[in-house]
Amino acid sequence: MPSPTELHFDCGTLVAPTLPEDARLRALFQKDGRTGVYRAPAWHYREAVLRLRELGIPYEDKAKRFEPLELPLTTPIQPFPHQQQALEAWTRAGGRGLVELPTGAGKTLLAVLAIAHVKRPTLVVVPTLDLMTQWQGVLARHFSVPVGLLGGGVNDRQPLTVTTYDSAAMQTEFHGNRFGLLVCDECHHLPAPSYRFIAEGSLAPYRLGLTATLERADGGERVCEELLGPRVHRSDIRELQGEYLAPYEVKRVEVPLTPDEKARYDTARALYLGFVRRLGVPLSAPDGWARFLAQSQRSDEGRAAYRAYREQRRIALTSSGKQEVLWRILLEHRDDRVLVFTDDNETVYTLARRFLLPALTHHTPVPERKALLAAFASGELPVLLTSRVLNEGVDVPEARVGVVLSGSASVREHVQRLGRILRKRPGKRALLYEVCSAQTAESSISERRRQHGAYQEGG
Amino acid sequence: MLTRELLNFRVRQGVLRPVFVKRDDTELLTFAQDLLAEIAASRGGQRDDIEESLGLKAGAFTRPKVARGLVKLVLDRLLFDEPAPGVTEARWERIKAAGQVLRALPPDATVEDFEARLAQTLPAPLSEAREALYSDLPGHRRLAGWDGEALDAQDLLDRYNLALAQGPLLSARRLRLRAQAPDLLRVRKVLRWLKFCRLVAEVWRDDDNWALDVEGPGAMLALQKKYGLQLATFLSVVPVLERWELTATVEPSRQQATLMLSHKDPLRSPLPAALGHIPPEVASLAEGFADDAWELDLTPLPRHVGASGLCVPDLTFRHRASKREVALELFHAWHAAPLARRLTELRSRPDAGLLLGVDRALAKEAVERETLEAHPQVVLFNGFPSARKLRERLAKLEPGR
Repeated sequence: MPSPTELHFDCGTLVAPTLPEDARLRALFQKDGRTGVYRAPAWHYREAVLRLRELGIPYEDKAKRFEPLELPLTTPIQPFPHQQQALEAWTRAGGRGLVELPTGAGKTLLAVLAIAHVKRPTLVVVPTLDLMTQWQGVLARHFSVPVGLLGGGVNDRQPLTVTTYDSAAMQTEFHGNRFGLLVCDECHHLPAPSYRFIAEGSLAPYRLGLTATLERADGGERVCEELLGPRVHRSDIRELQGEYLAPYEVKRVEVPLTPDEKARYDTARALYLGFVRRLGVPLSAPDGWARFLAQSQRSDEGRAAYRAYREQRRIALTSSGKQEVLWRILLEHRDDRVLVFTDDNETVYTLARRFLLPALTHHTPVPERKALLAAFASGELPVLLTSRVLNEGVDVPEARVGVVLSGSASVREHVQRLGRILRKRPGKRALLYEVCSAQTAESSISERRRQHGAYQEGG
Repeated sequence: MLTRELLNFRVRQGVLRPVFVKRDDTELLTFAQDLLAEIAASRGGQRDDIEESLGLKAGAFTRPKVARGLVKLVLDRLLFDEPAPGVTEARWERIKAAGQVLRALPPDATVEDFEARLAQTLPAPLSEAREALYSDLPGHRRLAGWDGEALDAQDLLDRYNLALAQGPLLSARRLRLRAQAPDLLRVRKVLRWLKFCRLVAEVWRDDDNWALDVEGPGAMLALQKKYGLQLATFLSVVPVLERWELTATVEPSRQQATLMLSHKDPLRSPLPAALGHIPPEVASLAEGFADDAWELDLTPLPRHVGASGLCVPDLTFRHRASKREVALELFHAWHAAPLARRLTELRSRPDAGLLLGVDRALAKEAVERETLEAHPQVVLFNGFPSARKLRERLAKLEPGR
């Protein structure tokens, strides 16, 4: 008697040593001339199993390593109408599909409802470590099972696990058969060549993509639709505006350097720029910065120029005037929750030591990040200092005041930072300070990053 | 591995060649020795300081790009101590205390007022609290020594050359390896490393020469997954083959090129030199096996088994008339788990060309023994299968089937 068809998972692929004579089933696989088996991308698993069932052919599923899971909600959730509509549309589509909801419209809660609905081990993929810990917190609140983390030095896989795109891209070949539901948060990241394998190499028959804006300039949304399912629901920001975002105000504070700082700044900058001019390489050229760095290490003059570059930057970023303004803001808003953004970690830690404030950077271990965000949310900590790690997506509804002490010229970064304090709370009016050193290169950086409607409207 | 900006290669007429350094380059060996001496003298030093110092040293070298590459390889192999216990807890207490002090201040308080109140609240002087607050940052960790075996200057140059060749492979999807009359133990080592790297290969043999097309399991499918890291890791075993050539289509920048490497390049395998050995009983069987119909061959022709297994058999028998090959894989008393796995794989995908020689020590239980005795591909033995027993089993195989 011939042995039944077996399905295996092999490093992100689906393998069948033998297959029955069925054209539709065989079309999902390719004959692997190297090893003699039939092989398909792992994401064809759902179709392969459905076809085998349709044919009534006995098969042995050695591929999946997950079973249905009892996942009762700790407390019932009353979804908003748009969440309910999205869930129903996704369910009607067989538990596959993309949902497009604006920031603040409750995408995470929708995922919680989807997980409770399909009752399968679930992998949630998010773009950053802070979103990872945030999702873990939300899932732990709604389900009474341990929620695992993969990423940021933590390797704790559980039936409910949250991971980052970077970690998932490396781990999918090992755990792509462990989860029945794949949730891709901010799924517009998925089409990146290095991330697609997360969905391609996963068996998960149920898939949910969440995003605020699916459209990509490169047409990558089609990749999302192929790998996660069609767009099943979309709520326009105009339908929900006013319901979710807090009103806000932007204040720009220009701080002069002290005469001593100005003199040191001018001296250092002249030394640094003088060397760059003699080098004959415009820093705006593609390799300009790299050439400056290389040349700066080859002579005493170059090394002095490099030290001067760092000195003028340090003065502009952490001038005593800025520190004084920061102090005034912290004092004025000592009963609020204040997020302070800087351009670099060095400034974060300088200020942290000065005021004994908590710092959150990419060096902060995941457990400490979680504790910091929780303590900030509860009000135990009134201030968080950070460089760029909180720029995207992290939900800090308690923050009312933001202080941009320094940053890049990126409009996107600036608007994202503004977005961190806009989560609506009853009676909340958000306030964003932008502090920059006058008469330094920082002024023009500030001008460039303020070129956004939201920013100008607020100002 | 080296990061992209540290790679050094030339592309001419579509062929990419790493710019290797000479293994006996005196200037570089001296520089490497200096680096290693500085590492030795820096034990207990802070990571930031060590990185800055080595970076400056590299920048001042006549070939800074090469020097920075060597520094990168050295830094990757250093071990820094773990943060002192209690740093996180102490930090937590201090930032909480600072938050409470801040909230309790009057609206016209100065920084000095804040500091004065903090000083009263904290168990340690404020300056010490500031110094210790983030003493556990990676840049503050202190050098403990080498992570693994210490390198010498020659090792470092060898690692650098290997890293120069591995870098372009990170963008490859597959590679082709040709080995000229390799020693069979060396082939065995390469094949085992192939499995360790989770790669698959199509293998050809032409007399004593071997060719392997090596790629990832999903490379044949329209997956975005690349196996560059695994292929680069695989490269580290290739130099054990002694006479070899390797080609791969790579895309280190936006243009494709063909990476070409061979045993003429100064590449050395960093893997342990031991090649394993052919057990004396296998060798004596090979010598003493005499049969009119079958000949014995020690060539470890790999076989893909089950869904994703790779079997590197111990022996191959070749039928003189039909040229049919039957491999024999031996399972000794300590191979219970591999035997169970192989039997499962044979159930998934029968392979009539594979015999399993199983030590009776693995068949102690009655049920196991009956199953194994009834299995058409199992030959049970005590200690080692005899030539007679093997000849009897081979005689039962119908040639040409």
